[in-house]
Amino acid sequence: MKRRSFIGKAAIGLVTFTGAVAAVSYLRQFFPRLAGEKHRIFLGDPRRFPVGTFTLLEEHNLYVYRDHEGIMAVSAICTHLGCILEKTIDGFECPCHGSCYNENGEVLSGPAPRNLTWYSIYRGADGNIMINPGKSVPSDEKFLTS
Amino acid sequence: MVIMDEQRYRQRVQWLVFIGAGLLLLLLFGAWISEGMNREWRKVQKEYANLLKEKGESGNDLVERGIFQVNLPGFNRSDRCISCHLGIEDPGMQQAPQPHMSHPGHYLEDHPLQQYGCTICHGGQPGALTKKDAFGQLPETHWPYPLLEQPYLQSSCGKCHLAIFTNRPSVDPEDNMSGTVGGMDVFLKGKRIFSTEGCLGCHQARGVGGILGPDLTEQGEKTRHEYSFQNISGEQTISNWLKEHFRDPEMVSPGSQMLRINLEEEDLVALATFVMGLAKPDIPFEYFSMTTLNEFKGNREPLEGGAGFSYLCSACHGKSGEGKNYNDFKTGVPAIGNPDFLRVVSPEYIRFTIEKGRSQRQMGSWSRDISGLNPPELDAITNYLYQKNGTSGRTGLYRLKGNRNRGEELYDEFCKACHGSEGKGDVAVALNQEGFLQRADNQYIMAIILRGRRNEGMPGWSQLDDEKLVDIMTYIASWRTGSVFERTPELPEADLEQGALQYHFLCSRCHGEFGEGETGPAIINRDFLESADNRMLYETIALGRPHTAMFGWSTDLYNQEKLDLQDISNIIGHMRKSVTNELTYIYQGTNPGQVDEGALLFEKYCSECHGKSGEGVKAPALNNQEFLSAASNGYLLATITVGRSGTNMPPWGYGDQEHPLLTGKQRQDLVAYIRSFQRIHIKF
Amino acid sequence: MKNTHTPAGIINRNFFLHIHAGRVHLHSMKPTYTFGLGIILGFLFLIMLFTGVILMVYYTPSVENAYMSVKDIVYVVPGGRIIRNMHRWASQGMVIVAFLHLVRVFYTGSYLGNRSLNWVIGVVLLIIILLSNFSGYLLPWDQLAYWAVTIGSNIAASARELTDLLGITNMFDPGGFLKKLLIGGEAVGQPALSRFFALHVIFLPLSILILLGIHLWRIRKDGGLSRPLKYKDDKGSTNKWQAWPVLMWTELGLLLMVVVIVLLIALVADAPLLEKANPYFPENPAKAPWYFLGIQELVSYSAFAGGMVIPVLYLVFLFSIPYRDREDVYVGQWFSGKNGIQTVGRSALFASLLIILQLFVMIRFGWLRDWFPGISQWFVMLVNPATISGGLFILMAEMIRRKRHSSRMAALALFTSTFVALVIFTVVGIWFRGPNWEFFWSVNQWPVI
Repeated sequence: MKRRSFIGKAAIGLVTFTGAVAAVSYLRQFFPRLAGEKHRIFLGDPRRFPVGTFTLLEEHNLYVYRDHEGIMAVSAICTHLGCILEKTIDGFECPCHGSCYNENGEVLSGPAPRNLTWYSIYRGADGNIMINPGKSVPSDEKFLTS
Repeated sequence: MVIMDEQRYRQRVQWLVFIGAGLLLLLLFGAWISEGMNREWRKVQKEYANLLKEKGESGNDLVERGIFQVNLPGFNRSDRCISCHLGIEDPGMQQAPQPHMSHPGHYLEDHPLQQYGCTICHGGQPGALTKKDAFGQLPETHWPYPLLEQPYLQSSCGKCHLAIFTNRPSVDPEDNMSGTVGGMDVFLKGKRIFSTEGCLGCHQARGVGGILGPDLTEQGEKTRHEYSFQNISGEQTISNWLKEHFRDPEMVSPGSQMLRINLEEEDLVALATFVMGLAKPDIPFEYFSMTTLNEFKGNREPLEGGAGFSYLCSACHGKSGEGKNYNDFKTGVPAIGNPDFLRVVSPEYIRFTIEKGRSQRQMGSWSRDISGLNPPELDAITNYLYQKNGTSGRTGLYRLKGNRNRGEELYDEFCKACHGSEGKGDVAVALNQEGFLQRADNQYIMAIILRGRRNEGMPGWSQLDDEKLVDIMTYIASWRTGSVFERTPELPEADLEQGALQYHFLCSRCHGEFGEGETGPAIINRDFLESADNRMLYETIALGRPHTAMFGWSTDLYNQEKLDLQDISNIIGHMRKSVTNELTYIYQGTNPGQVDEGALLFEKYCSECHGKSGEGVKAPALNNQEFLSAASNGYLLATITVGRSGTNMPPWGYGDQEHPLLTGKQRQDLVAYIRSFQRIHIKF
Repeated sequence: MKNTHTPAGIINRNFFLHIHAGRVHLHSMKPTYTFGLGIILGFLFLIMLFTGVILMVYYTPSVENAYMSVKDIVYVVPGGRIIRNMHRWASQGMVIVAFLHLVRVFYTGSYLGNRSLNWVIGVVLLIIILLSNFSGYLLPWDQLAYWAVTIGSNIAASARELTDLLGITNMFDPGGFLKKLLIGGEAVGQPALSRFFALHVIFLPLSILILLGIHLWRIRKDGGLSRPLKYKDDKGSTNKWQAWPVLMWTELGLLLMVVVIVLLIALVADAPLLEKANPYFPENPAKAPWYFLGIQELVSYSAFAGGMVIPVLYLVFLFSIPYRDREDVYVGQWFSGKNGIQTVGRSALFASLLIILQLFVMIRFGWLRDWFPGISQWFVMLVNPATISGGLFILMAEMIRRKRHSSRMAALALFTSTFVALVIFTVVGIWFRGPNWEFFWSVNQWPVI
């Protein structure tokens, strides 16, 4: 009876395997391919940003800071649970659970686990100044404007 | 053993069922009444039907009952106001009590109900069917766009009709573009206040303005959520917040640098109404007026100089350019309308400062990228300021004859400080000179006295009245021993290229490569060339100025090249052309002063107000690089000499009760020292 | 030929009534035994289905129109306000009653014996109920909904705290995986709304129906509701009543009372509806639905510990109870005798004191990062009231197991302590946390923003 039991086992095996493949193909449908998440952000003329201030770009959830030498961009998203940070006198604060950061994006208190990410700013091929939120840089690196 | 009697249990449960069913029935009935029959709008509709009946119309079905709405897909809403406001389009209901009253005015003719609905102008909650929810004014309604009461209701007109930089909406009944008649007076008053208080000096609206404060283009669309009412004690509404904010910005928004505006209550209301109307709503473009749409895109009528000054400069510099002193404002604000300033400043200086700003001060750059103003508009503002110097229309004075003795007194009072007694010369050129007086006729003399020589150090004297000016001119003319040659040569057409070469090789050594002056005076100078006619130029070049280093070029006295008519014409042509060129730099001109001596003088006389290294304590910062790039040595010399009345800058050329007179040499030393603060020469 | 007119016949020949056995034990009918919680829960679910269908007819699941469609239900649809309120309050009732039912089943030891599978199904049903509530929470698309789901989705991504500490998030991001599964992206938007709508109206209700069917079928298979061992061998009609009509009357009465209460509350209290969702303006405080506020409180100490570790551990604990405790002697009895009452009481006291003490320290004196500013995130993650309490409760339960040689006592201790902790944390999260998640004694003290 070996042949019969073999085909029976083989059939079951193949069905199981196919079922697994079918399940994976089906479940993959729940994960959209969203490549557009990490897009480049147009910064424009740095002179639009007053020197010595943080300006919030709402649609992109980041703060732009300009000083006399250059311009920088830091994430405005709290590293704890993703709320948008508010600017305080000497740093940032998260309204959700009270995490506090200093102006370098370092965590001072609260449940936030990581410091804020500073994003790379570069001049694109068309001459425009852009922010790349997919690339992080050290907190003291700035895009020189002078 | 669980002892429970089935019968008893069952009976109890049956009671439970009975009570439950009964309660349910009651509740269902109650719900039916409260939700179905007892609706607020039904009562209102019944009232309306009764009103109609009283007016003599009959029939029970004259009012269709039910929920009415206007579907507005363009606004993404359906307005149900008309379920209660049934009489809104009924002309017979003008005197009826609310909510039955018909709409006042002719608004519904221009804004048909089916196209506009109600809430786009009035605010409120379009989907609601009770008064409280529809008005949306109480916090528990959770509606961010409450019903607007008068006069704030007028702000809604701004959404579609407002063109900030043109006269729209106008009140001209003939104006079909976006004119509205009546009903907008408070809004338009607010617009006027906005344009005269200089709000755009710090704020931007529709692409024009400063960047110190937030952009106001869509300020009117902000909801209560976006304002902080922490420090507002009165009514917790947006209109009140705005009024309080105008009254005392720092109290309402701690850390704000906004200046206080002192306005009457009704002006505050008007301004608040205007600000609430600054919007860029997300509605189909057919609803907007053309001018408004154009403004959104940045197409607008160019701002005139006066308008530009008023919109952008007046908040800091004052409505008539009177500036702010150091008591009111930490770093002071220059009085750019000050007559003493206007008589020493050149238009290039003003234009440069507007374009570049002043680093480390709040005067920012107003170049197009930052402020949204076009170069012609910046020129217009420059001209507006410059024209205030009062020189226009007075050049005909040279024909008059004045009193020589009075002129002598006036000369000693005003002119001696630089030109020396009896015109012998000091830091400025000698006027009592044959060669000069034979070339320069009275027209030239009067023109120069009036407008001065900007960038050279000669201030204008337009603040003196006509009589005094004529007297001074008479006195100076009295030194003339001969008469002015009246021969006017026929100058051939100038060859500019040759002229440039000849100028470069022959004249630039003394007069500067760009005619800005070296050992000789600045001759490519707008004021000079506008005052001097070709005759004077020709003669001066041809015959020279005896007893000075300017030799005549048409003689061969010193073995120099002999220039003929064509050559001189070329040079004159070159000079006149050059003055129209775009400036690359503002030229500093010469100054023979000594830096070290100037340093001592500065410390003694200037440092108390201007700071030990010119950083500015109670007076403007003199070490500011933009300032030094805009100011020529002549400007500095003239300012030091004549001071600035109305401010604390004394006239050091004349001295006053508290301050000594500084000689010309001393003043030149100070200029040299101030010039030494300059590290970079900023291009125009 | 079967007689269709006997009580048993009526039950057996009707598809729906056949859920019930022909006879029911007296003990099961005691109101103070079960309190009818399971049935009440079932009826609440029925209310959800009926009111939900009406809502679904008028609701639009798009971010532009969802909010206004809900407003239209309230203003325009006849009785819409009532229907919506009933849906909302019955849903809250379901969560509360589900937890009460869980508590009842646990404390009466009804997972013992052959009822372990049904317990597991029940816990799964609890999770699905919570998910249903959570998915429905988003649908009105107002500020409350939007930010609650944002918080919830970020809690789901809290594994990132660990992967970031290890520096491996780029390669292995289970947090991101979960978040993407839940809301279809990084932020709550139309994809999230569509997903939640599909979950809420089809997938989860179907799952509940199927699992509920199995749950009820298991009751029959397991010999009816649990009862003390002394009744174990009652066969036939000993101590039993005919299901028809007594049980039917009881259920009818309960149904009516449930509907009456829900309708009454719906008439007097309106379901909340704040301003339309605005992604640029977070509510402050932004709170998850109330039943998740215990977790949100824990998450405010550490995202990973409070959002992943403790909840997962708790679920593991719940699932494993019937497989670790097999002391069938305790079945059918509230609190398992004098020993049990003592254990429960002491555990409750211990848990309350411990939690309150930690909260006191934290609120008054701060926590690790306030005392040691540069401290590593590892410490913050591993040492906080969530982990400390969890660890101590497990320790306590183990000690009791050894001391009393009883897995039931241990189970009682661990269940009681964790449940009391959950309740206290939830209460704190609901009533004592204000803007910036700071502690306030009452809403009146919240600062104006």
